[in-house]
Amino acid sequence: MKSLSKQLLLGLLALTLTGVGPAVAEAKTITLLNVSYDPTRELYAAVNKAFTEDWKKKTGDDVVINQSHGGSGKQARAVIDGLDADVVTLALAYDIDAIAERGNLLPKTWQKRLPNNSTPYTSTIVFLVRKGNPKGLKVWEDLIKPGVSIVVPNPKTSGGARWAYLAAYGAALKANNNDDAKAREYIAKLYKNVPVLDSGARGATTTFVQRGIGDVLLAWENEAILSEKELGAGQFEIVYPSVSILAEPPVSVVDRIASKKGTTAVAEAYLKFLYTPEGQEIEAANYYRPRNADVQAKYASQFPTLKLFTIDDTFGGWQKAQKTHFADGGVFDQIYSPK
Amino acid sequence: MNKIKRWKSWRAIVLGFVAVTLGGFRNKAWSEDVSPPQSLDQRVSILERKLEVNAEDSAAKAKETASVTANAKDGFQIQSADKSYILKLRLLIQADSRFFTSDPAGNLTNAFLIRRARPILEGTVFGYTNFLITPDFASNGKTVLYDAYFDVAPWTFAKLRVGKFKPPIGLEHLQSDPYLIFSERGLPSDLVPSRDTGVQLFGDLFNGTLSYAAAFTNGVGDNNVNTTATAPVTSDTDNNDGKEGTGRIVLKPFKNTEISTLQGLGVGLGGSYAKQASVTPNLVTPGQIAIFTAAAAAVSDGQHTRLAPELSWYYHSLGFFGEYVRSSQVWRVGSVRSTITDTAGQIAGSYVLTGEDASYTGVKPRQPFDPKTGTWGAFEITGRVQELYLDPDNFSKGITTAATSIQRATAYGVGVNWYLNNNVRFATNYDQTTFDKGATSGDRPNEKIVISRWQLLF
Repeated sequence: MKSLSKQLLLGLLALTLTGVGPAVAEAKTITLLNVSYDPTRELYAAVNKAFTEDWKKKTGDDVVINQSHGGSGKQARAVIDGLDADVVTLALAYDIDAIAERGNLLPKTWQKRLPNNSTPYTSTIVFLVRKGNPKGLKVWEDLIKPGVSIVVPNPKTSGGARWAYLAAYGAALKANNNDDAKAREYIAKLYKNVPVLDSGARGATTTFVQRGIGDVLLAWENEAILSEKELGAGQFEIVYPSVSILAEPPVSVVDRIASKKGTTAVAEAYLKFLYTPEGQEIEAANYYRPRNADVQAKYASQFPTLKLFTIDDTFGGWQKAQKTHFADGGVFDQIYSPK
Repeated sequence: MNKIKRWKSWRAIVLGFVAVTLGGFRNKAWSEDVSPPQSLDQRVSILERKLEVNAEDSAAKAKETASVTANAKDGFQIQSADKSYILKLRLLIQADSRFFTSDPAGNLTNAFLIRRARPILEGTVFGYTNFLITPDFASNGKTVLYDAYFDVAPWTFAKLRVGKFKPPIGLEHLQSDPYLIFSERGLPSDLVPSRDTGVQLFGDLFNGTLSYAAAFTNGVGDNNVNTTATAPVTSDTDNNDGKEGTGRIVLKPFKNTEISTLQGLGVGLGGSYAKQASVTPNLVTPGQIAIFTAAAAAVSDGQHTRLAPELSWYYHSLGFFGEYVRSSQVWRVGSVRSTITDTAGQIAGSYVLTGEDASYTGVKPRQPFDPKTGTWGAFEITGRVQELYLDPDNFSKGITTAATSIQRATAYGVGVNWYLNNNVRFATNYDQTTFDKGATSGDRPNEKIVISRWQLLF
């Protein structure tokens, strides 16, 4: 009698060779490039860690997410000029619109694809001042007093700086019955008090926090909280002006690049992760205002309630604001000259 | 008197007190005009930060800004920050004198001439597509397009060349004009095509120890730049359906070894095959005098093959090369076809007296010519022996006649090259050539010629 075990062994070998046996798929490694704006380094370090673990659990595949950070406008230009971003997470919708229109890399309707106009988190512009607020800066009008030195980045290159400019301009409009001439006069005086214009938000934070320059930093709220709690613990205070702007940094898949690289599914899942409770929790923990109501409630003490106006209501949207204020020859060019 | 003295003392004390007090007020007022130290710190910090920001901006702009340079090696150059786009404008001017030391028939002309006047426009686009255009304004008063091609070169081992270029055959022929050790190429270059139009695949393998090239072109006569005529040339298209395939392999087996004496050793073999019609060879002496004229009834019509083994060796100041070319062409006189095989060979050598390295790509003087500092550039002596032998069937089959063509040319040459710097060179050489046939009666008189050249290249 032929050995049964030999027959079984041969049979198993045959099954394995024909692939009928249990298949063991090899785990893939997928690489994404997230091109983001300047101050989101810590946020996406935490998001990426959580997402890659989550994706590995769900699919068994490894995801490597590379980050690029810089001024939002510069980042958008880099993508248009050939930087192969799978996703962009920039400071303002105008910069992603530019990628859609000039780079033809994603549809012009990109903002409708994810909830809240593709903005999983929001922020605003606040004052970061020295401990004790020695210059007594409480409201926007205080910033144009003689002797006040303001640190803010260059709105030509920094998305955060454009939010800060519009926050100041909008506040001036609100305070002066929407008188544009008075708002313009205000913004001119404000920028006269700016000694150094950094190219990005993180650079401005460096100027204020590490170099000790200026009395007040007009910063993203998240950047201000980070500076107060971690970068210069005990040295600074945050002043929330009575009114500020609702800053909505958007996100999008860069369709043509993701499609070329075969990463569309992962890229879409990555951005959707930002809306999940876990993603929202990470954003709040990194000082970005979450959209999720439950997470908002949990972090209510970290994010004071304040009166926020939107760019659509006050300026007619980004296209109009960009053309009026930040395009070559716009209001900013007219009121600011380098010292 | 005592009262007056006491009053004067009190007056002095009061005046002194007033002076000190006023001085104190002035000092206080002066110190009030000076900014407090904290403000000075702020100003210094602001200035330092502005410098940092400006440096960051400049560094960022430098990554995007094109640069314009002018130097000996690259000529005038515009280059993008990432070097993906480069445009170079260079120039080659060769001003010669040709003086025959013997002219028994009185039909040779001593002359100064512009041998080459070539602006060279070359560059790179998209990082790995390189182009080159070289017209020549000194071809018998006409403008000739010598080179016009571009290379798609994504890899060193495989590049595609398209346009008009030197087909890959003939060691000295393939050497760049400004780097020749004699003013005119040797007789083997008479039997290889000068320029042709088509495509070529080429590359370097195994760390440069093996180079290859394979071209598919229109097919031109020996030493010609196009298919239709010798000189002046008229067009760069073809006059028949026959095309030519040319290939060459060069081995430098010791290039990457520790054997320094053999690192500069190269052996190679080139070959070509075509079926051509109506192509005419352009055979000339070292003095550039034509020594072959086809009979009116003779037409090249059929297979044309070439074989060209070569050897080169460079070791420090010593340079040596040898090559042999065999060119077999089917000619037709009336209805009679004959395969005519012409051959040529040369051995040449050079030695750089001033110690610089001899090289296939030119001698680079260590110290340029500058009498003020007592430096004189580099000096090189050269020598060669060469021969061109035409198939006797050329004459017996009516391809040509003894009156209009030589059968054998044997030449000896010596020369001196003075490299003033990387851009300017003076060369003078003497070639003496003896002939069999090539005259109405007897042999063509010897050619004894001194060719001198001033060359500017950048």
